[in-house]
Amino acid sequence: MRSQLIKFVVAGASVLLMAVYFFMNQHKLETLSGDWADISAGEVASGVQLMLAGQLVFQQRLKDSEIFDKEGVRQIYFLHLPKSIFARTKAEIKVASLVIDQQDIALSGTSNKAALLAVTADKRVYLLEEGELKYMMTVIWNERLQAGNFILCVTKGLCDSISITSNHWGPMQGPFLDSDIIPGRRGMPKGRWVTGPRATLDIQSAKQQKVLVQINLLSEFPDQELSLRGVVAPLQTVNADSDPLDAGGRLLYPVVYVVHLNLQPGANKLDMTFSKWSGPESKGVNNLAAYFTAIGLKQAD
Amino acid sequence: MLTGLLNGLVFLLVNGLVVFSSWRLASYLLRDNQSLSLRMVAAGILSFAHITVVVLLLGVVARYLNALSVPVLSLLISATILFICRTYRHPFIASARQAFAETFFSRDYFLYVIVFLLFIQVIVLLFKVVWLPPHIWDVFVYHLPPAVEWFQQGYMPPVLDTTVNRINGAPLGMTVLAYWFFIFFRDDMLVEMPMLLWALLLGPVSIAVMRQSGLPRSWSFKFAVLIFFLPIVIMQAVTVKDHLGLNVGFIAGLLFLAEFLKEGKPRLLLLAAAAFGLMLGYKIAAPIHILMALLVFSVLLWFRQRSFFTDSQHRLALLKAAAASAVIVLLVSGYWYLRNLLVYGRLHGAYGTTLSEAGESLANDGGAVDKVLSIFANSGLFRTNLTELFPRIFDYKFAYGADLVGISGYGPQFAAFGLLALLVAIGAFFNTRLRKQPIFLLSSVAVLLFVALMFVNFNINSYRILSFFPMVLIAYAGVQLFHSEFLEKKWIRLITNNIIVLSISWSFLTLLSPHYTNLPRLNEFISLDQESRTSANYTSWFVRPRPELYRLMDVIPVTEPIAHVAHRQSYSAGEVGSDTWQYLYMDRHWQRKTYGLHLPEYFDCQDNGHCKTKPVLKTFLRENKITLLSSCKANRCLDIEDGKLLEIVPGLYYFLGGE
Repeated sequence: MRSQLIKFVVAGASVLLMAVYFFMNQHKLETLSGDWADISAGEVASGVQLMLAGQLVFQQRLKDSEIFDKEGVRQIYFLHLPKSIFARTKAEIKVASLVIDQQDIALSGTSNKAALLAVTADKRVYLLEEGELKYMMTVIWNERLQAGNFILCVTKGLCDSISITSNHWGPMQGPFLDSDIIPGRRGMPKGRWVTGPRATLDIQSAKQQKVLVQINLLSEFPDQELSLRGVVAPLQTVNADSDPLDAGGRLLYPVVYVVHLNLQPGANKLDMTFSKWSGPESKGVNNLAAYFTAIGLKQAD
Repeated sequence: MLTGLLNGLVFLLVNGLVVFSSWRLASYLLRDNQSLSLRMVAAGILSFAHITVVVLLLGVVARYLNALSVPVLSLLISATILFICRTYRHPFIASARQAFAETFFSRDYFLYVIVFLLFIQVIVLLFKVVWLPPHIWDVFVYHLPPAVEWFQQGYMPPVLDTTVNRINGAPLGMTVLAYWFFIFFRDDMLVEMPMLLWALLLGPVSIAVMRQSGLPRSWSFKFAVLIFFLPIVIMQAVTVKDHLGLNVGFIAGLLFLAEFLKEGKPRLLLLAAAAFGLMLGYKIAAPIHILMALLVFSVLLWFRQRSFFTDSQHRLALLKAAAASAVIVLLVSGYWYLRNLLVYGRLHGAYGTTLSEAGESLANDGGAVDKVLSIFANSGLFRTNLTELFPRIFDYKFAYGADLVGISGYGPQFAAFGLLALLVAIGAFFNTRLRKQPIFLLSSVAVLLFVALMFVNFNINSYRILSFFPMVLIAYAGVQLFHSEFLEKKWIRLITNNIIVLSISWSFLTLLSPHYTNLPRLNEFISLDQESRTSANYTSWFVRPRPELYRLMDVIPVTEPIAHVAHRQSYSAGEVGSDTWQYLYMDRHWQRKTYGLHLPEYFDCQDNGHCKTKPVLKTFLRENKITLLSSCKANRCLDIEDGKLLEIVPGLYYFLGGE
């Protein structure tokens, strides 16, 4: 009887301890389902084939490079070709084409004799002679150099007399792919985070001039309100898009603000007050209020 | 294609002969023993020892380490062993067939499910090893880089010009195995194979332990599979870390010691020595494991085999075996400690402590013995370990990961079987019947060592060296369930079987996804050309903070060397200060050369990480024909101001003065 009781207690304790383990670790099963959702959302690598007069001479799978052109629209890829194939392709460039995802793309020359180029709507593919490095580095450096600015002047020459800076925005980021490893930034375009609740744009103007400023931003809050104040004409238009943009792990709402500014020569300030902001995103960048994707400037006179 | 086929044939031939000759040698050493599992364990241990000795002899003594010398020497050693042991044949197939028949004689559906899950799991692990690239931060920082250096230099220099201090004090036995599995194909696809093999060896080790104590075959098999499915085992089986080798080798060594206590055959000590030798070659913490094992072994030897102390013939035989064992240990792992003595004047080399992985600076450190004594004198760590015991053992605070951050990886099987077995194992110290069981050596060493390590070892990853504990205690649970006649009750058998299947299924499911990677890119990665399937493209650690650099490096010709900054000073909060932790061997074939730049010699840096170059930098870059410079220490990059250095992507500079 006593031995029977011991057996019962031991077996019960064993089951209980295992149940406790499962109960306390049930979140691991949720992670598992998230993992499978991520995996099934992924796509296989694009195939690239180099054809010369209809003949396949080279093929390779392309992974996302995550290196973008200055507009943040096309990813830049580099393929190193064996010297003999590169020479042949260059010599027969009129009959050469690159097949990317069943799409036939013509090749063109570049400023460098060791590089050819094919451009699609979302890709720029450089074919390089084996070992070519300097041109590759130059291309990336050039694009990055020009990608650093998100202030767009619609009126020609306007940007020569105006510069905008801020102590309340972070570094230029993005664009980020839908498959970015950090869910919170998947699908985000090029832009800068601006901190809340208050931020200031410091606008340097070489002369007195009236300009129309368009601020494109993404907000995490559908009912975000932005008040603008400064040496400015009153807010003219608030154009809120009601359709939320699902940017991966972060749901963002695009909003466009258009204001008239009457800029004076020298320093001008545009004060912004956000109604909502989130907690710190990372060290050094606190209270994220909105992600500015572009600031457009247009002569208002 | 032809080269690949040829490499594959050479790989199969050489490794086949290593295993075959080790089996023969095991049959010779265990000629009075009919246990298949024991023989398999012995053959596995001897195979690892064979590989280790070949690489060490060529790399250190002959200084001629390459794709030709390695297979040739191995073949010579295999042939010699086969010649010497030619009369000791013990057919594997016949023994395996008999063991299979005995294990599966009854219609046990639980057993079929367990075998099915095991089969699928092994396939998954093989896929992860071969198809997915190496991962885990410290694998790239210090487990693999020495193998790359050995490959590039063609020998094993005693001190590597490294930015990671701990490399030069660490025993690198597992890196030796990684080198072996690289050199046949000159490709890193199999570098994780040693840990998987250690995990697989855990099967026969567990079976042998339980069979030695009288557990029937089918139950031994079930509990062995349960032990194999410990999360810590499944997670670490696909890494290039060393903890599985340490812990499985430890249990194998204890197994042979226990067999010696049972049979009294001194040659069994040689096998224990081989296992302990391998352990010593894997981890600087191994000596404390072995000291504890020998301490308990000596006490039991006095009680169980007293003739070895009283009879002069027996004593002489024991002394001879001990001397031969010492030679084996020296051959397998002596090099690392001799090197440390010769280069650093102490056994633990550049390590700050014999026990911790913290890597404190050499200058501030006392001797190893002082250090150990001072740690034992402080009970603070023990209290911290006690407080953390429940959260760690139940794994609930953090996600599963091979580095065991904040968890033990012991899984539900330890909660269900191990914790209760622990109570019995403690009680066994006071129970004559339990003390007489062969497994008592293992359970008592496991308990005492676990407690001892609680005094000296606590950090966020500290359970990595403690996986012997669940392995032994679950086996112990199996043995005690049988000997207490629990398993004679049908309803207890049913519960036990269900717990085993549920635990195995849990581990299988929760560890199936390679969540250490960028999962949305898994499909892309798998479909890439082999050359592009590298860690730099995929492993989350690398692509998270610096995706552009790592993905770009993949398309930069491997013939382009790269220099990288290195300095012990930390330039930003959260950065690992003690070493320059980074991995720059992006190509599968380990061809790219890297050069560490000691920061103060080449740069003037402010505290904010903004640096100006010194003239000597350009001279160095020109002389070594280097155009690429990484300014990132770990994953935080210094800002370099120099007109000749263009920042291509964050942290990667192109030197314009190279031509």
